Amino acid sequence: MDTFAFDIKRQEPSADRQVVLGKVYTIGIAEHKIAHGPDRLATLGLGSCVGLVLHDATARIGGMVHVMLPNAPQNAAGINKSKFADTAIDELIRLMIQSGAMRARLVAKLAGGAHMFSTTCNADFMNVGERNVQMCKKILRERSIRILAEDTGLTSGRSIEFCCETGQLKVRTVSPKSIRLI
Amino acid sequence: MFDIQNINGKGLDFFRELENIGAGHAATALSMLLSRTVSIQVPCAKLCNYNEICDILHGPENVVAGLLVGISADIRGFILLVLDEKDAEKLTQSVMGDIADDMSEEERAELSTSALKEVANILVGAYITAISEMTGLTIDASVPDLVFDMAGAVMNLLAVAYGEFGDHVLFMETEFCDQSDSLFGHFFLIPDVESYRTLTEKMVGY
Repeated sequence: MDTFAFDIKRQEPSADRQVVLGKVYTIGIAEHKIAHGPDRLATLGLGSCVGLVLHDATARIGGMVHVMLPNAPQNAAGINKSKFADTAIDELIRLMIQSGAMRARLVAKLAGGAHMFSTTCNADFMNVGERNVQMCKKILRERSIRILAEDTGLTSGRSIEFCCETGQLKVRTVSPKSIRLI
Repeated sequence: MFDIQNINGKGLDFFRELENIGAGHAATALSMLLSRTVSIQVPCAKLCNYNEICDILHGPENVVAGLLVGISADIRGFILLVLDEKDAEKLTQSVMGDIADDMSEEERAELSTSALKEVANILVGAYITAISEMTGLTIDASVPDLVFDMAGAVMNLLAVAYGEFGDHVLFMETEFCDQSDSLFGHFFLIPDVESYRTLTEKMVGY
């Protein structure tokens, strides 16, 4: 902490963009948020949920959504769009463009969609993580948005933090303990 | 469309009673297993937003032990027992005693997992028997599955179970207290939506 504070003091007004000292916005389940560099976006404890980020590197705008289920129910009036993969991504694209991002420059990264429990009981219910990831990829492919990186599946819960400046996604797990940059 | 938010006060009272009886029996079973008094706190049944659940378990990144048992037959769904990592170790320790002292790290880890699963089996078995007797429903339990991970990731299951039907989940929990050691365990009964109806039908005669 001390060295961190020291760094802030040392920073000259004309310091180049390498010094990243933004705010961190943490979003919950079925929430979304748009932020600008050097701010960061985070979501904690992703299990079968998927954390998806869209990034416009030139405009330094990032958007994150914490998706919970693959499909929105049919007669879906007044639903929370951020909850379902098939509605959340389009909504996030719209908000990104509204905030000044360019549609053609958008790229994506995703993490989560773990298979937390191996119980075979009520199986359709258990593979929701996998279905979340598949749906996210399908929608991104249909919208011609390239997936730069992903850390999905397996059996570990994840916390993620996305830097809107650099486009780097930090993925943390506790069992086993690891931190990955993708 | 089914909306879990339509559960009224009387409905919640019914689920609170289910939780009370189920967890009460489980506490008795645990008490016999440990040869110590285990008491339960007043059970709670309420509707809450899924982002609130993790706050109750000390934040989404807090490491917990989650023991999941699938239930089938007349009602389907899950029973989830969540213990803080430290409490899970304490529980395992008190069940195993000193038998693991001479074992290698690997053997001990394997035995701990197995012991914790067995405890879960006993607790959940008692819980199910109690609910089954109260409602007259047949309930079968699957083999328990144990994970150690972030509370948020473990509790995802609860959010997913009801996610399609609104922003709220039916949250039922009981805290266990071992007087000498203060052991906190949270029991969650997670019926699927269809089974939830089956259960509320039983409420009429209750």
